Amino acid sequence: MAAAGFVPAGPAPSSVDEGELLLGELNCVACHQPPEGNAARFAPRGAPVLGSGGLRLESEWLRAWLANPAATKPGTAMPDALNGLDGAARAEAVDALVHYLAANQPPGAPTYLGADSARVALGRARFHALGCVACHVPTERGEVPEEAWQKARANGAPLAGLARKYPGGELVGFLKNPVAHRPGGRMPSMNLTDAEALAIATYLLADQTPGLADPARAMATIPGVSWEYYEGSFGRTADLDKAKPVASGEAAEIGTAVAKRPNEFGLKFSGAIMAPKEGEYTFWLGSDDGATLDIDGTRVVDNDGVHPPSQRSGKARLSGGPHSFELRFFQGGGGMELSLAWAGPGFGRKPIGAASLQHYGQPMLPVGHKDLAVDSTKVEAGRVWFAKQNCAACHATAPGQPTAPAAAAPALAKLRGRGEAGCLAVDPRPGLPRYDLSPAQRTALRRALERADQFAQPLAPERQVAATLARFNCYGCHVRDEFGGPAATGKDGWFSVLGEADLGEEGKLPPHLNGVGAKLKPKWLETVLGDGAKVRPYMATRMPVFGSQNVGHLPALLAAVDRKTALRAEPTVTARDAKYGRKLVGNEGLSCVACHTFSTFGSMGIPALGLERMHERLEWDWFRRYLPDPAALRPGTRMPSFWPDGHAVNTDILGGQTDAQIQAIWAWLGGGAKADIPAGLVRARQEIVVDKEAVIYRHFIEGAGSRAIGVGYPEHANIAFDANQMRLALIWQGGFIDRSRHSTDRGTGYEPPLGDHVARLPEGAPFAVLAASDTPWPATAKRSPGYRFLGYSLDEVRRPAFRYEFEGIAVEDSIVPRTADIDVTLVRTLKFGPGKPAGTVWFRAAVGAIREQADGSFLVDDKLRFRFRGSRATVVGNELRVPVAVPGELVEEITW
Amino acid sequence: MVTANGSKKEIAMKHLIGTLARVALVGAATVAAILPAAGATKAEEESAYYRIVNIPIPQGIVLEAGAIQRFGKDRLAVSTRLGEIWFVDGAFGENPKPSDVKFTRYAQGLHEVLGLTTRGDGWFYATQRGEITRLRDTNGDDRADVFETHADGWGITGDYHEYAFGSKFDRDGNIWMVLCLTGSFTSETEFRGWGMIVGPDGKAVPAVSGVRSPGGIATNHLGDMFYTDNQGPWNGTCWLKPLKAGTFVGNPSGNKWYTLAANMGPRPADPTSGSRILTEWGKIKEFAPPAIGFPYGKMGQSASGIQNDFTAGKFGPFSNQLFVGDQTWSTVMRVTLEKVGGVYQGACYPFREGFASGSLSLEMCPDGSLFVGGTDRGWGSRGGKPFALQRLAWTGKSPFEILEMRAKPDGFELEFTQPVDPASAGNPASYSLENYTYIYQSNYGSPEVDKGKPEFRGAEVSADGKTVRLRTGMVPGHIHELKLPGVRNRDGQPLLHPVAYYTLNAVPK
Repeated sequence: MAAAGFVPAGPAPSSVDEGELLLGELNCVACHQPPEGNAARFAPRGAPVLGSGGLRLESEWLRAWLANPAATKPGTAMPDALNGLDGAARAEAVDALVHYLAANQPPGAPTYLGADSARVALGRARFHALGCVACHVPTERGEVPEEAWQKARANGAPLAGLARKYPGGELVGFLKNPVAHRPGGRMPSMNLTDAEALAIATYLLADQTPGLADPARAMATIPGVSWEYYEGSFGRTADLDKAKPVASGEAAEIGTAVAKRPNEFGLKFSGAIMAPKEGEYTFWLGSDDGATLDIDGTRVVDNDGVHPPSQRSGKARLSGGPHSFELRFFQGGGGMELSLAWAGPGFGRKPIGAASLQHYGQPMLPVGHKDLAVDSTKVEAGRVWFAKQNCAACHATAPGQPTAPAAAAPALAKLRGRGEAGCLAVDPRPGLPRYDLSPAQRTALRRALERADQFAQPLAPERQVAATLARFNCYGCHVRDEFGGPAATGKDGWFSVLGEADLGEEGKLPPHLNGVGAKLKPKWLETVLGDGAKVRPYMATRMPVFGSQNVGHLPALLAAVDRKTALRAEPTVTARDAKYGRKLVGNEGLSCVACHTFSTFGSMGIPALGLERMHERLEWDWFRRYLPDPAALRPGTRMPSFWPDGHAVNTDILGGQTDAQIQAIWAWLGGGAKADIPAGLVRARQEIVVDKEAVIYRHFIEGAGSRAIGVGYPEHANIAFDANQMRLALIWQGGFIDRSRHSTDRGTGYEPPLGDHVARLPEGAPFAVLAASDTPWPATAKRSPGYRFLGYSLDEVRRPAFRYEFEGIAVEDSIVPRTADIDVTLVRTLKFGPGKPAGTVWFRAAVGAIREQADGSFLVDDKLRFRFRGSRATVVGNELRVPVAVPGELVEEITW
Repeated sequence: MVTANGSKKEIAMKHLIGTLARVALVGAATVAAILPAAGATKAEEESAYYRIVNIPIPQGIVLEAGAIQRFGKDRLAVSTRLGEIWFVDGAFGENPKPSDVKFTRYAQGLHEVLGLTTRGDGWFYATQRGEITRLRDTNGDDRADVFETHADGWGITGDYHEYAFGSKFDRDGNIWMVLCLTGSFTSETEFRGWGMIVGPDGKAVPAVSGVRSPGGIATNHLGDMFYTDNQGPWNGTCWLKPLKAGTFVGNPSGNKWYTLAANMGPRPADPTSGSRILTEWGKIKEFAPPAIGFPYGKMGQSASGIQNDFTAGKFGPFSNQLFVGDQTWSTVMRVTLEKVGGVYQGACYPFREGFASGSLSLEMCPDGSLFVGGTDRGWGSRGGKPFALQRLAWTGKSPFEILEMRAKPDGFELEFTQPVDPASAGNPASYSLENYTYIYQSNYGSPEVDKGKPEFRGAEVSADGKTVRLRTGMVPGHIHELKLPGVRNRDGQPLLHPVAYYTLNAVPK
């Protein structure tokens, strides 16, 4: 056996005695009792709970594991418990234990996951971003430099053989609540959502993915949905029945991720919705373009047809249990959206998640899976072995059950002066467990035991803190006293910021813990350690939960170390102070809200830490030192000082007195989430009102591209022109634009039309030179090739006449709205200059279900009426095409 | 901060008392122990030399000034982040009251205008996100009615980060643009992370790669183009970088677009993350090193607009020097440049703090007015006001400052605005010198690293007292942070800003 030794999750600082740490990590203290009253010094790692509180593990993996733990999972803390047994005798003992453990599993059958490559990718991303790699070895290099990659690969707790060990459902359950299964807390809870646990488990078990047409894998009901993907131009979901799917597969959730292109496709999802109990259920189906939901063959939600993002709901009375469903969706062009939410007896509206969707498919079966017929004779033999080998000293067999120390083992203090004997011997005598130890670990343990007579004394608090931080690998994420942090193990490259938060390294890396016992209020520290608080919404990683039995002592310990000098008492503040504080925090003062969020309000910029938690979290003594010089306490922070050199930059409020201002802010923060809302945070609707003149809005407009030009006309008709594709993209009535998305914060994203009766006109180039009237229209490009935008001029009521070029032909494009009764008509005049096109120039006016009317007009999707002057339109498939004379003039009227 | 008329006297008095206190203290033995006058803020001290005049903005106008252009007879055109262009009359007044200032909306509906210029022929050139537009008023009502697309040869995706900053016309009649990356780390569409030259024909020609997140763009007095680039990936701190066609200025995220830039030749080698600028400059032949580093947290946190003082003395003693805004700190900094070995380098100095909002756009005018436009939307600023338009005016009184810090083969030369007291300025104990650089890396920002204290061999004062030669060690690739707490002028006054940061790309021979 290679003596590679036990592999911890991360390194420990030199102030922590390695041998002493190992006495806990290798669970020595499970058999060798530590001195009365000082057990915490050796906080044992413990071992997984077995029996009814355990997990259903694969019998073939158990067999390999018991036969040789260190070979099955190099670096493990589990010793060879059958030391001294060889050959057939060992195999017989292992077999007996496998049967015994199988017979004592929790009741019920294990569940398996459905294969889903998208979920594997998601799980891989979450595994690397959420912080798992702070303790485990990363598997994806990403953009990490070679040196850091090598370093990171050499640091981390082992993760071998998972695909052989776990039925998928068991690993999901473990990831959701690891401390229940491993009470020692070395594997903490990351507060994963169901979807995250499912994705990470699917990734970790990716080797279980069935091969194509693997007959050995019987079909079974497994979580997720089946899907079929179609390509083509569809106007109704029923059109999918006429098409043949071009791809199919299984997915965890309903969504458009499986589509292979952004436009002109369709999807069918099917499987079963698992209703938790009998009752009335409401389903909300949001889509762009059309979607329908059928349950048990009945249409429940109809959101069909070509339309912008819109949502419809329907109700169904369902019995408890599975109900077959089919969800159809198609996408034409432009914006795309698909979401399904539900509410039912005992639960409010929420997205329908993977846990509530089942389908029939090929499960992910553990590698090397064999069914085990439990043999009661072997179970009995296993029970004897389990007792004889003292397995119960480390493994509880029910949740919360105490372990039973081996009666025969001498107490820890008695091991002094025994040298490398007993379990520490290179070749322990039969009956003693054989640990896989490196020579250095053996030496460290021996040296620690030489001091065993001192084990009754408590460690100095500083060293206790360091030992605890090492034991739970807090150092994997946090620096304290110049030790630790992700950079130390080359892992900082995997820590990331969520979204676009422009916060630099402090947005990615968890905070340092220097003096944290004096920075945070003890009660908050308890909350953080107990619940894994997440006050940094921009940080991809989260504070895990280790279990109060494991780290509950830390707040008091940190206070003892970090509060050697008494903290300055909280100032007495008044409601009047808080009023000044509110003014300072808002945009009439220092504008803290430019970066910091407050309660449910986003900040005006980056999402820096919420103001509502500051008072609850922080000690006044730290706060009053931090504010005048943030970088002194948090090197590299983006938080600027508003009192450089102690002088207030704002001299209008409280006479510019530094202390008074900081105290006022503290007073306001004391209101927590109920504090009066500071000015600047409430994002009011900012409608651009159109009065007597047309108004232009050039910005990112949803459905009209990144070079959109919105025009609001006094007739309450509006258009958006797409200057990338040179097309009339959107028309709508009523309100023009609410620009609040763009005029608050950094102004990110696309603003949708404000009004109603929104209609989308075809994406892609509006004109094409075609060989024949039915030649397929050229493919849509991001910017229409051969076109050039030239600008616009405004008329006396500021209406623009757009000018552009197409194949050297100058085009002038102007619109005048006209209203009659309830209808609006856009009269659009297109003037074409001379040119030498190599064929007929066609204008594509509309795409959809087109019906020519008796009066010569064309009705598109029963909604838009088109009429042309200067040319005759023809219908080609689902396209309305108009030949154009060059030079010449075409008048298009759109009524809706 | 705007000071009401009533308190101006008090400030002047405070300053006088402060000065007297310092003069008295110099008589006492410990030169280094001198502190700023208690109670007087730096902004108050600075106001004796450079006065911030607030231009009142009428209720209802959101003047988040993205660019400013003076034109006609003392008129300003101010473009905003919300896409308007306002003509402002009366902004040059001594202390304009709301009734003295007239705002006229020249244009609306443009897309975040961060560049504005004119040749005075009636056409304004506005750099929007998606295009440079030239616009004019054809019927004399001070409202533009013709909007012509001048250039649009680059991509935009809809990401807020994809700002486009445009310069004034250069000596050849070109407008230069710097295009921000998509987000902090990537270039998702054509030429994000590039400098472009837009010729009089409106063609946008890719000219400089390696841009990250600009804050301003303008020429120095010689007509060479510069821009500011902000701390982030591949930028250990905020920099002033030269824009010279054909070069790569440090951030490789946009280098995939070399495939569309035949004029630029082959794509340069990628820099190695975790290295130093000096090292990579030696390896990558297209690399143009930054000219000036603005040490993060010391000079500011987000460098922005640039202007040079072409007024030949109307703005005080700093003719031909550059002035650079800092958005977060609501300041204007000062920069001097020199060319060593064909490459720009030089020093930056604190200049004026206390602007009302986040300084973004700067406009120097022939009368010596420096207009500063501010916004703090999306990025907080010390000033705290959501937007502002202010004029910085020289009071006619010159501060005691380092006029220029220059590199020499064996140290630095300091030129001052006033003759120094030889005893204090010749005493090496009056100075402290530190040097450091930043990690050049794909990660965001960098701490100061490779710190050292160069050997200090002596300080020699010239006969006229205007210059001091410092004989010191020098480390190429490092910023040399010089503090001068002990230096006094002949009246015993300390420097208004006793610090300078010299970015040493190369040591002169």
